[in-house]
Amino acid sequence: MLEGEEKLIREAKQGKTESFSKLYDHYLAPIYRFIYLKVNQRETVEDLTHEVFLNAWQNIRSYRLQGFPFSSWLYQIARNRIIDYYRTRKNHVSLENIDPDIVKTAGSVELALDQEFSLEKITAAIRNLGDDQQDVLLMRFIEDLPHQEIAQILEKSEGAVRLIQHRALNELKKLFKDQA
Amino acid sequence: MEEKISKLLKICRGIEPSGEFKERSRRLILTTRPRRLTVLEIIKQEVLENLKFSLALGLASVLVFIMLGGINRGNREQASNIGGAELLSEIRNVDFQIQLGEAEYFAESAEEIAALLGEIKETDDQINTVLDQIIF
Repeated sequence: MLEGEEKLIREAKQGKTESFSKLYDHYLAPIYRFIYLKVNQRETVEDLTHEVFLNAWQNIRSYRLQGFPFSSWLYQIARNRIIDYYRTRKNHVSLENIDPDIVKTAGSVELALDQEFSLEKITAAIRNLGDDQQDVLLMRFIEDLPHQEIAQILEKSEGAVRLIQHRALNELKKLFKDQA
Repeated sequence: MEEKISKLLKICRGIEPSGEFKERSRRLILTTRPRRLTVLEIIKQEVLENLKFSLALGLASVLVFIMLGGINRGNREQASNIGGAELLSEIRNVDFQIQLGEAEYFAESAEEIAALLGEIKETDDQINTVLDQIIF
């Protein structure tokens, strides 16, 4: 959770652009990653991410503080937007078309190559999972969200989230073994 | 294996939007204005807030009512326990003690009365003797 988040949200609700801008800076990357791992074309990822934040800004006055981070609301918007995207666009893009430019690597070239290779494998494996399993894995292991928050975003119980996580990990293990 | 998967998944943190997209998107978003809430939405929000408060108050009242009912029931149970055999035996004991007390009192008072009657009789005899002497 961003420091002083509640204050920023209150100010954003009053129309203060600087406050929303800070929220945008903090949450852009996680939401972008979340969408990227479900939709693999860079233009689409950018369009959907833009739409999520545009939607959040335009509806900020209807947002109600309920003790959860602002990201919970953003993830909910993103999930709905992705569902709409797949509903209107039936023909999915091939899983092999992962845009390598999308990955930023700050380390050595070796590390970059290693990461790029792994990323391809991981994203392909993740996309083979069910929607809920994907969501739980991304939020839990990539964004380090607590189970409670994931449960709130997915509108499920914490127990159900843990179960989905367990199944998703088992599924991934199988997929990685098959690939190995 | 889980640790390995977790490490592999963390690699995905390297996925980031480009700086150009970030700025372009921000500019476009912030040129728009947040949508104003309709009267219906404002009412809905207010009603929801009030409803939440009323619901909390109602639940608290029900809880207090249940708690008080429990205490009352406990008291009644205690009272019903007292009103049974225990109370009857207590009453009987009290009666018995009263009767014993009365018997003791009567025994003591009878003796005292007898002594007094004896004294009165003696005094009566003396008065009679004095009167006889005066008259005769």
